[in-house]
Amino acid sequence: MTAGAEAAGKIGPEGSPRRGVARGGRADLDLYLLLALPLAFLLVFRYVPLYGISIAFKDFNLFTGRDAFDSIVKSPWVGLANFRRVFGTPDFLQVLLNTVIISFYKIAFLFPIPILVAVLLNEVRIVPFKKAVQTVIYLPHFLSWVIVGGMFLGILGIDGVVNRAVTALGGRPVRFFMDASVFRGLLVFTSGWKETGWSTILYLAAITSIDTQLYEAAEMDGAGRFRQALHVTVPGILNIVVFLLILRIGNLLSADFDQILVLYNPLVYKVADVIPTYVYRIGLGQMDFVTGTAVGLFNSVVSFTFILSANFLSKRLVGRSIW
Amino acid sequence: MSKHRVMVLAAAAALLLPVAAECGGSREAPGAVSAAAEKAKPTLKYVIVNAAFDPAQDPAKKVFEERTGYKLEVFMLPAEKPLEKLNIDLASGTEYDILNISRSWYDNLVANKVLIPLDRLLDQYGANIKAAIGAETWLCTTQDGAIYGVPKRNPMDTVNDALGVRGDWLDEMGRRVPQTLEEFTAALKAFQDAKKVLPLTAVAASGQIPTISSAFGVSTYWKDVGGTLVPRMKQPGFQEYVAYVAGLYKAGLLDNEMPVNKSENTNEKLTSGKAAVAPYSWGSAASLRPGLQKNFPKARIDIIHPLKGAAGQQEISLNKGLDAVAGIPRMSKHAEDAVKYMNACLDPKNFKALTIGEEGVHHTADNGKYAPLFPKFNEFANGNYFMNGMIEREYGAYWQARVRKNDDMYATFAEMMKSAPVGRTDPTAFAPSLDKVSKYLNSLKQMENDYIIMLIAGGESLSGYDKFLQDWDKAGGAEMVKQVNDWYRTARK
Amino acid sequence: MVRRSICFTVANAAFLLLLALAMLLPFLHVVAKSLSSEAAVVSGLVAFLPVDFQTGTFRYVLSQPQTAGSFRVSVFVTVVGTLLSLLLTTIAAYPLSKPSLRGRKWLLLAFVFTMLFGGGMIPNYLLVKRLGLTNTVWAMILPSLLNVFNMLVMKSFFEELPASLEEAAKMDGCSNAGVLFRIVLPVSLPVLATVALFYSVSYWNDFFTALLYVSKAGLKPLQLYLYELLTRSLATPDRTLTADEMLNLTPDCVRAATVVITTAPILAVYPFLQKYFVKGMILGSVKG
Repeated sequence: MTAGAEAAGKIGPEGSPRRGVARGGRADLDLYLLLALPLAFLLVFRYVPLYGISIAFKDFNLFTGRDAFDSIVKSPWVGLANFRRVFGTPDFLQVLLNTVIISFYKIAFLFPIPILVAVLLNEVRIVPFKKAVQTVIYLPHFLSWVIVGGMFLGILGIDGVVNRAVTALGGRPVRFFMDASVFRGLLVFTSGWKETGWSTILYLAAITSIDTQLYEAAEMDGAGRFRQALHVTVPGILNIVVFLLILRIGNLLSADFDQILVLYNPLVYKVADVIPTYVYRIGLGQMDFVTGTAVGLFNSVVSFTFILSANFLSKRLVGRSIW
Repeated sequence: MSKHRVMVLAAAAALLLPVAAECGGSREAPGAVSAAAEKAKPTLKYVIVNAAFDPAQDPAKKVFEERTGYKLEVFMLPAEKPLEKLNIDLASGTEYDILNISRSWYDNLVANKVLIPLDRLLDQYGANIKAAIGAETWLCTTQDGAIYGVPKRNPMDTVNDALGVRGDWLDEMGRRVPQTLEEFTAALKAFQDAKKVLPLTAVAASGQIPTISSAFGVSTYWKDVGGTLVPRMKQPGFQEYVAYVAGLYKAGLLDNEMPVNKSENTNEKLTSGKAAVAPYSWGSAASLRPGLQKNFPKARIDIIHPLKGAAGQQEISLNKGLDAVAGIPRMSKHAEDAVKYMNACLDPKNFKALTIGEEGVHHTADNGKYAPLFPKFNEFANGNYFMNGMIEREYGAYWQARVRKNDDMYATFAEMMKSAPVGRTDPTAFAPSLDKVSKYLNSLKQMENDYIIMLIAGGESLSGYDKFLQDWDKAGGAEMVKQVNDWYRTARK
Repeated sequence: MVRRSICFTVANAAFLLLLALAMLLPFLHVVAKSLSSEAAVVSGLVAFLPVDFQTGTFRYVLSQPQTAGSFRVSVFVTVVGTLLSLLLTTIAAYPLSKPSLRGRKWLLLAFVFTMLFGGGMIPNYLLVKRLGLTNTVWAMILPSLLNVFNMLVMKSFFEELPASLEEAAKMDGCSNAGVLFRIVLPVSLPVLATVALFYSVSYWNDFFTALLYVSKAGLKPLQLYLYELLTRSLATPDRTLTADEMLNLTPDCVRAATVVITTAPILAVYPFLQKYFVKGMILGSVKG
């Protein structure tokens, strides 16, 4: 942190007693009033429906009772039977592993890129060019995977542009979509292509919010553009970076169902079948609230644990956290 | 001052909720039933599957309402999770009157005891319905001695799958359209050697190419083998079929991208001249033939009929079965009127007008051959959604008018139907709801397709086939086969 | 020194240009398909420029009576939803950004918990029904009014603001709410713009909520209406096409056109919001 940052007197990540504790009472009341409406919303729209989680532990049938709510109440408890049905299958371990591995790859390779791009974009001085690039790179986010998948199949297919170049140079065509050793890389790459632009938006906003005084101070200290970027920009967005990283790690078990469903095929099941696609395939055509709720609950519990751990670790190691 | 402002905003937000809900509520469509209007015919709440039209504005719906005297409030189910939505609505007490839905959903609702038995109502108000629908069709919706739905069968038992081949290239090579498996293999080789094109392309989803499996004696999913119904993976000839296709794949005669192909990929390969043989049907002909013509004006697509095998096997699946079923949920308050509506639709006086309109205005009739008159005929494009059941004797002929909508479509349709004589129908086409089938068939089919792809393209060897069958049995297959055969034994008496 | 700087600028520009093109071309491809003839599209002739240029597809989709209506619904939901959401999110994020707030940790936990745990389709449906919101436009706004992720983003930004900014106002006797609206928000335009963008995209693209709660054709948002135009008549593993459906398959060019129509309006939002991403707004206020 440069001298400039200290001078600006930032609040800091964890409760520093700069605010008058003595005034805590009255000031707090004001704040709680502001929180009232959001909390009310939370209660009504998020906490009340949580009773639906009980479906995961019941032999649920929608028509058991007089109406849907009654059916939830009246359906009998079956403990962990529903969980065993999904998680007890021999394939599940591989599926779980796939989910974690693919997610990990995506974080490792794709997390830093939007940050880099945002920093680079920030360095662009020609405003129209900067704005144009900003607008264009987030376009792929709006295309559905059905379209994006079809597009990549055309480019990376056996007969596609890339492979034609490869064979022209004397190599053998790469079966991106059917080769299990390459497929996870395909997933990571296509995901990066689609979402990088969108992810830069948040970082750009963060960079814009950095006090320009800090840059001036650094320049006065003799820092060139590169060192300014390193010592002003990066620390300036560290809060957001840590925040997003914690959440991303928390979501380790979440997999891009749409992406994988569109791109995968039986030849790559063993490396790319993830929890949601697996559940979808074995329960095909059945309307199954129970399995969906059970798997969802499993994901929720694991995510929550991960987020708590990530937050704790982050507080210890970097001094920043969500709470 | 600002705190005050926040309070006001919060209060405003709190007030906004019910007021806005009211506003939204008052936008309800007119036509609600009131007790006073008892004498007038009630508006029927009518549910249909997802389709791309606005039911409120549809001209066909207006004709139905005029002829039957019943107003319809149409609810279209969403494209995603429609069955979930329908079930939640019903469980929450929504008073739908008629559900015009697919066979599998009907099975689901029957299993949950949501639909009411219709026998008494049909006796009282459904004379036309009973006359219109044949005894065989009624079997589908008869459960434990009672009828739970009005079945609408396919207008005609059609051949829906074929392979299209570049006839012009065959001419160049001095060959005729292959009729036997041998000729087919030879033609593919010739395409590869002489023309240097991709001989055959296929989609991943199908698992089974009907034109080819015909030569191995495999067509329908269920087949009577010695008195028992056997699913396709266990039918004699199926393993040989898979071995054959795997051979094509290895030799490069079958598109190596088959595991990732969707129909738009195979369509493109055919129309851009990359492939010689591709999946083709009367449904896709309307867009494929012009597409091909545009690129290659001299090109021609010929139909390959189901191939003959070495021992003379030749069979193709005929699409016989139910298009839709109409049921009345127990939540409905107007069951009698619902039946009366359906009955009016099937009144011989109304039926033709409701399906293809008036002669000379919407269609022409030429010795029993019906042809459409555009643009008026398009008014009936969506009529089938409002029709429940059909007058089976007549509709086949009327439906032809719809196929004649497009010349390419009709020509291909006529050509494909030439193989109808070797067509076979699935023996379970008109079975009643079998819950094990509803429960397992789809995921088992997926499992089968996946395995077939692995055998053809994924390097799996056929030596593991028996193990697969064991897994298949364990995954619900055994239960399903047993239930189907239990029914089959009783049905054949 | 200067040479290195120029080198970097050029390399940077080249890299970003390449990136932009990589992202832009597929979109151009979709646009081109929507303006080409069906025959050209099916045979894969279309690359980045239309072949057999025709506007018929657009005219067809846009002239459907339902298109205009569902467009209006989408605009209403997006605009009203975003404004209300911004308000609700702001008044939640600000207090939570104050480290001195008692019970802050537990409150934050309460919010984060809802990000991960949900009751599922049925209880949410029942709730919306019980509140009388089904088949109203509010069913598409109220349940999604507060997005905890967006709130946490805003909180992150508020935490970065210099304490001196607010202390000055507090000493003048300003209340917390006053500080929020008079001091903090004017300098938080970048995050407000970002969160506004996130909310508007999410409201505009959401069709699942509408799918569940809205069955009246007139109330369907654009995304839902066009999605249904696209996806029906697609054979899925659990459903083969009926004879009648085979007669009505959607042409590929119509698919492309619907993508363009649903995406174009929301694309216009970001450039509009870009002007709020302005540097140095903080500068002036600290000095005072």
